[in-house]
Amino acid sequence: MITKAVQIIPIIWCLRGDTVQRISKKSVLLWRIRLSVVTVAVSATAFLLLPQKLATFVFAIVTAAFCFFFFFYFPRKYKNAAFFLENGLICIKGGVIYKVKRYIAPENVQYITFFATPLERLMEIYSARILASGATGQIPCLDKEGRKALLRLVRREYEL
Amino acid sequence: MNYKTTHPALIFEGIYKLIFLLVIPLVRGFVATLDGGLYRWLRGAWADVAVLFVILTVAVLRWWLTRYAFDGKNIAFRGGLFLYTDRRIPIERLTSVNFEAPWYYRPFSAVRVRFDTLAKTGRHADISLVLSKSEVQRILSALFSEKENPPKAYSPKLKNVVIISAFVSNSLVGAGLVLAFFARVGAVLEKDLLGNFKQILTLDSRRIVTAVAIIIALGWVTAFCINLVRYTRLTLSRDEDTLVIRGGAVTHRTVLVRVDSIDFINMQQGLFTRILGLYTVFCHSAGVGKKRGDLTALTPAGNGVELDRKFKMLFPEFERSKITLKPPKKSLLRFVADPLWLLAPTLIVAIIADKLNLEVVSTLAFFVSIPAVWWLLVRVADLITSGIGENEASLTLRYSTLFKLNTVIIPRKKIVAVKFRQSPFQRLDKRYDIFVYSKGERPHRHRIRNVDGKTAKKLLRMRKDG
Repeated sequence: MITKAVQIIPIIWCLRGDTVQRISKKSVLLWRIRLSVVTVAVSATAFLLLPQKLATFVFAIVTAAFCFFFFFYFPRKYKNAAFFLENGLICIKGGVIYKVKRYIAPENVQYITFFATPLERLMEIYSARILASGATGQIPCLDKEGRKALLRLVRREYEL
Repeated sequence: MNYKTTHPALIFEGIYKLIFLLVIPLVRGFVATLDGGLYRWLRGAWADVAVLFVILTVAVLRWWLTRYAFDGKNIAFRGGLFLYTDRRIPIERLTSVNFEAPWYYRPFSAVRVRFDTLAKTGRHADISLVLSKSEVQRILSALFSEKENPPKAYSPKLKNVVIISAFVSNSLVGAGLVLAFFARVGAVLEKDLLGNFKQILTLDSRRIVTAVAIIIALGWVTAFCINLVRYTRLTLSRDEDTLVIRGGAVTHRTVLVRVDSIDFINMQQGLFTRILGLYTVFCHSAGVGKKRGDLTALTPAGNGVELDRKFKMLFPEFERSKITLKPPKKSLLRFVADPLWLLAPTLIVAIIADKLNLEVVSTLAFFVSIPAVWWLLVRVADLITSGIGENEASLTLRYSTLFKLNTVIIPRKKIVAVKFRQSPFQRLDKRYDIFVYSKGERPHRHRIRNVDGKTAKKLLRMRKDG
């Protein structure tokens, strides 16, 4: 019996690995770039407009926030973000401080919108908004494989 | 899928969206005028040209980057200047398609098309495009195969169109009331004693009051005329699963509505139209009535017999049932409590103000009490007629919302939730207020007051023995 369990467990893990779809690894880079731009803009504005002591204080806070998001928040956000099929429902999970799981029935899905800013398009990643009757779900930063997997879940595969 | 650009008329919409940028040259011109310098204005004219160039370039770019495709099974949209979006909607998910040809687009053979589904997109359509007439014909023929003389078609007579237009143009009664109010206030102010300023104030006040009264009257007449033009040539036709609504003398509108996506039908009356025996019918579906100017009212009918005839023709799926569960007549207080809460204090204020010779206050209180009395009368009518009826496929609900009396037919499959609410007073005789929530892009709530809970559960098929 133990031998059988040892044989079955890797199969189950493989199945789970097949169905659990992660977002693109480039998402962390994208978020870090945005964070850097905002940090520089806020710091520059502080130094231009505020007295020096106050500006230094603001800069210290901004730097602390930067480090928090850069080293902790975004990597965890990437690690926690995923979508898969669970009991016939599309499950979108994510969140860092508040962990969220959202379930949508595939038959309720009206359509999916993929959207991207110019920077995201350059990195070839698109966010998806799933529009169902009475609910919406959002999945950030999907690469081409991720988008195909999402379309497979709602049984609407087409050329991307 | 083969993606194409939309009609170049879309550039006009892009320009319109950026028209606010014209404030830059306007402000610049204004400042230059104040400074007294034509030369100064000319020197900065390059800025005006630059703004116009930006507006035009952005509009053209937006049009050039917007692409769509239609292959008979899906409608797809791609584009966006800064935020690129890509969406594809299967035809079977569409609940309604609106075609709109305003007078300024017709010389260019351009038509605005809006596709809607049950997805929650607020007041925006799921996909909105400007297309050529030939392309619109292609889409229309794929969505709806129209016969030359459709067996089920209805065009209201001119007098009925006038009734629809008056009904949807904000109550004639309400407008009359506001006019009467301002006329009365003007007369009161003339008599008002304000010492040294009496003459000046009353003279200007009369002019202001007269101007306001004229504006309100003109406003109602304008709204009425716009609706009359909108509902001219109104035609409704049906095939197996699509309702087609056409109308409009200046802007030609066609709406295709998938019948199984209609959430409910509402036959609405005001107190006057209830006395005259007239109804105006509205159908609620995702995409219908989203924009100002959309055709929302379907048909007025002379009486119940005529309504039933038209209904059977256009909406055979929505069968009106006899109301079997009604609130008891002794629940009058439950119905009239809300308007009484408004009426009692205003009447008291009016009486006290009259005794204290505060004419303006008493006039105001008196005029506020009139809509409260109207509301009271509507609630009394509601008590007599409200209730729930049912058949195998649908529920018929009669209830009032503010000044309107509604008869709503909801297919059972469109009901998403039911709430039973009971106050401490209702516990004594086991009555409930029933809230029925119907499916739709925007949730709708239908409230039936003070009915028996057990019977309601049976009718709503919520009990095992029901």
